[in-house]
Amino acid sequence: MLLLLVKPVMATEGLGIGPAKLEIDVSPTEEHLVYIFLFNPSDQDSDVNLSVYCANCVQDFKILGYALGKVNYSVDFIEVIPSSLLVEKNTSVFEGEYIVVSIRMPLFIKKELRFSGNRSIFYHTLISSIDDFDIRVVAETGKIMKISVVSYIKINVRKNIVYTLITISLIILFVVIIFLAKSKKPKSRKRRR
Amino acid sequence: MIFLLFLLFVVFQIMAGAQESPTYPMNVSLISVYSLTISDKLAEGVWFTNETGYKVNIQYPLLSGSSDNNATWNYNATDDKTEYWIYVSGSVLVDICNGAKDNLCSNPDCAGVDNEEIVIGNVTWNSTTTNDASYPSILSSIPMVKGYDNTNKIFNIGSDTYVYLRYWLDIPPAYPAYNYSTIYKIQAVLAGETCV
Repeated sequence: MLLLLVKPVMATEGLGIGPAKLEIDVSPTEEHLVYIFLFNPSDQDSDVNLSVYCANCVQDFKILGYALGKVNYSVDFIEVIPSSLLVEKNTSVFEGEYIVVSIRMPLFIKKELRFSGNRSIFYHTLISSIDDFDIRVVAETGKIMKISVVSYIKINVRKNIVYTLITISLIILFVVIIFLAKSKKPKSRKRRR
Repeated sequence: MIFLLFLLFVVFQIMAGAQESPTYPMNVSLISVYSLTISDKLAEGVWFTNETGYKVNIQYPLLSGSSDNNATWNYNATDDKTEYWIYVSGSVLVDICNGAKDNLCSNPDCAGVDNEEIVIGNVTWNSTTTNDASYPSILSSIPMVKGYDNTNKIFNIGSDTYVYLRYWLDIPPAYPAYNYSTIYKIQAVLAGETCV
């Protein structure tokens, strides 16, 4: 069916990609490998460069409804392997080159908070299910005329047993620290009459 | 405290086990794919020529202050059809974005003190799925932008479709008669998604 839909053309530049879109569930501390394939329906080999973009990783930082700056989520836990490759000419969807998108979902995600005056601070937060990611893997070829195709990966962050246990541990640790801090407070001396 | 340490021990034991990498085997016949192919003339880049040059498909230097200069292959001398086209093929509808890496420059990579630079908005383009002397037309042509133009995408292109393009350039007054060029970009995305 796909062979009928994707036809080769007499042309010097061409690039195809699949899957065009997919959605996956990833839990913190797990590594997932997603396979994307590239093919080249043109009649010349293509040098392809690959890159990763996150569509929803810059968000407003709001307090009481007022936007004070932008929060930028780091997606350095996502890597495309390789970052460049040669896709041979006249390849169909079944003969294409596979690339691997490695997603090592961290437990803590790095964020950068940028204020309006170019000041910024880095911090880490425990990842949560609201931190879903819209990732785009872009494959680009061409010299004077660049052409590119895009595959969309929607990553849903799912809680697992590790996440739950670590969250409980952190809460207990927090309670214990407060308890210890309180119990070590010096008792006030009673005045002698 | 002992309970906490025990809990942490359990967590790290599970974390060690969770490092194994589950992979997603892929059945190619079940997934969505698409491809983009461009014509040989488009792959060579968009080069503009003057009133004489476009009729014979030869690039000549542009006159200062001239407007609506055609790209060299806007009208093939033999049949008046454009030689700039994009072919889309696949199992999904796609949108196509146009754009440029930078402004137009007289020198490669805009380098050198003698480089002359023209704002990219002086280039305009238009597209249709028919190809003749009238279409794509300069009427309602769209200014080129740096990056990708998500406002003026070519929407919902189905499989086995040719999209034909034409390009024009206005040279502002007081700009010398050079050959101006840049790196143009075309991106295909799943219909409804934004170009990046």
